[in-house]
Amino acid sequence: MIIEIKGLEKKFNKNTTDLKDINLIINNGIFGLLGKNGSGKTALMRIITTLMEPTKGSINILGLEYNSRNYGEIKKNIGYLPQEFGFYKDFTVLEIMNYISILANIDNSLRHDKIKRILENVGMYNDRRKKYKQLSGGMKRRVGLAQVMLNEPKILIVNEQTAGVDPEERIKIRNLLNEYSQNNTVLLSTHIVEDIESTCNKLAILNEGNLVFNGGLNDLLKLAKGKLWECSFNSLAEFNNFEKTHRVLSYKSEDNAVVAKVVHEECPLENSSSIKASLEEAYVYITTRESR
Amino acid sequence: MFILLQGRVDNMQILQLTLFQIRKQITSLSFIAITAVFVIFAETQMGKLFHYPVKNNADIVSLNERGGDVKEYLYIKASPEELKINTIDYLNKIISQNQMEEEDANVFKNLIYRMDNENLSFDKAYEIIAKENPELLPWLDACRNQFQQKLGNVDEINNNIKLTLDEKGYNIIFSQKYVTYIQLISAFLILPLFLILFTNDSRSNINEIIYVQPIGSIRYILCKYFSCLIPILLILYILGETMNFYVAYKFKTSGWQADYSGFLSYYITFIVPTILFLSSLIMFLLLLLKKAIAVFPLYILYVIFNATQGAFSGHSTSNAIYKCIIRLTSENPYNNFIPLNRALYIVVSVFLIGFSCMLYKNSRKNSRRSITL
Repeated sequence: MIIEIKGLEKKFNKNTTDLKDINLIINNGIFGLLGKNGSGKTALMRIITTLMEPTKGSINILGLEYNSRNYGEIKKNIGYLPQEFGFYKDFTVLEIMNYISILANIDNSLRHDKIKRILENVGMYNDRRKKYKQLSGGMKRRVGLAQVMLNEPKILIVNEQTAGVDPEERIKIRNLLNEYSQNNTVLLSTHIVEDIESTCNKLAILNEGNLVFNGGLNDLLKLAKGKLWECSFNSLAEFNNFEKTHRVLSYKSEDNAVVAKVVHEECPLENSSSIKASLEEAYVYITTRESR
Repeated sequence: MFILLQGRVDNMQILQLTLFQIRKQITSLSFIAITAVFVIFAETQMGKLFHYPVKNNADIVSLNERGGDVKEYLYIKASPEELKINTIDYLNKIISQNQMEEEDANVFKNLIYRMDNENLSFDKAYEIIAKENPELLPWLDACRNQFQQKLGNVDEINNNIKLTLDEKGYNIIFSQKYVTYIQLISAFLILPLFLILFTNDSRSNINEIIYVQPIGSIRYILCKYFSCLIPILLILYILGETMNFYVAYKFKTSGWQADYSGFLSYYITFIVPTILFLSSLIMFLLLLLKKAIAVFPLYILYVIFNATQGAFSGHSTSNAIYKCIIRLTSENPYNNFIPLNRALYIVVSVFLIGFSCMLYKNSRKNSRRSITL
């Protein structure tokens, strides 16, 4: 067990979602944290990284009790890459790495080799002399990952790193995280279901500050089994009428007929047929089930 | 043993971080620009020392163009004959250009005739006018003021300099001028440097990245502060010492007395405590108010108060205990004023740095409370 969270609560002032009674156990490998924007993912990660203190509850990280006396030791074992990774614009990639290695107190004699190896790993070694302001969005994220991996933290917390990057960069980032998770724990927060599907075995889903799911991908799919239906309608008007009272995920119209995917606990219409849910559909089912 | 080893590692981290940031600081555009301003300012205010002792007419022309207190060396007393000739020339010119009432012009024409034919001196002519036409005396007063002194030649000017310096060389005067001017200009110039420095983390969106690193808040903010302070102090020392050395070199090679060693004590006594205090004040205000825009007017008002108290109170006191800038171009209020003033500002600086560290530690976690423009 790497991280154990028990009964965690965080109360905010207005405009920010409170975290309510979060219980989680996170082990080695990639653990996905899925949720809509504003669901409380960032707050939970900021608490784990000691950037924010919980109102209630207990956390144990690598056997260390979460309290201010242990913050220093906890920080040594955690690498955090925030959603908006920024750096001094006039620093080169190499300077960023050197600067972080000093802050992380990495031994001077190891620094050079370590930086070289990690930059090669993330595919940024040839661009090491480029200034931060000259990098593309995807390159910036890879530099972000490189600097956070420099200290080889046992726990890597990565917040929304694949949002807004092109598919090629996204795959590169996923692969890097996969590789790192072989011997470490990666907590990957995202609202992109595809990222979770291709990297995580376990995940938690947050919705409006509540933990609505915690388990494996198959468990999530099982939960949604028999809850997704394909319904046919003879006219658009009939469908529009139906949509007012049901959660429709998607629909296709051909001529006058409409075929729609609907989330529902039971068979919504006589001509409905149960279909297998994808992870994205299962996620929508879980989050809408709680709110309806 | 472990604690000692850990302490050594921590100290190495502080040293490495400070050196790294100093390297970035001195290559930053803002720092280079401010250094350039320091150099230009020093040259315009103290560039005249490059012409001491005077060696040729080019030096004299250059010094004459600069003006200011340099005039006391450049001008020597004119002979009575030179005063007389220049006065006659001037009055003839004014009369020929009809810049004088006809009646007054006639009086002066008559006076000029008598000065030429009766060989009257300027003083004798002055006596005659004072007796016969006292209302015309301002014309002669103006001539006396204008022509009783003349631009000296190389030997005469150097003789003047020697008399004023009392054979001691120019280095003490230079040191006094340098520390006075540099305290004033640096009070203004360090503000943008420190504002840029402390807002850089939030502008670059790096606060959280820094926070999660295993380095203490106090250690981080102190490294940051000193990485800006040390280069400024170094630049000002190198600039002053270079100019001081050059002055000493020129005086020595001309066979004059020169005391090269005095500059360092002036620098440590005046420039270091003033910049330490002002920079710690900026840091404290920034961390307290969190907005650079709020610090700007408060700090500028304080510096203007230091530089020209008359702008606020109507009367001006050059040096006072409530002012961190000491001017060596005016008299000191009392004997122990300088040590007392310096000690006070060093102690206050230490407290301000301490308070700033506490403020930073408390605000570091909360990105909404980070310093912004």
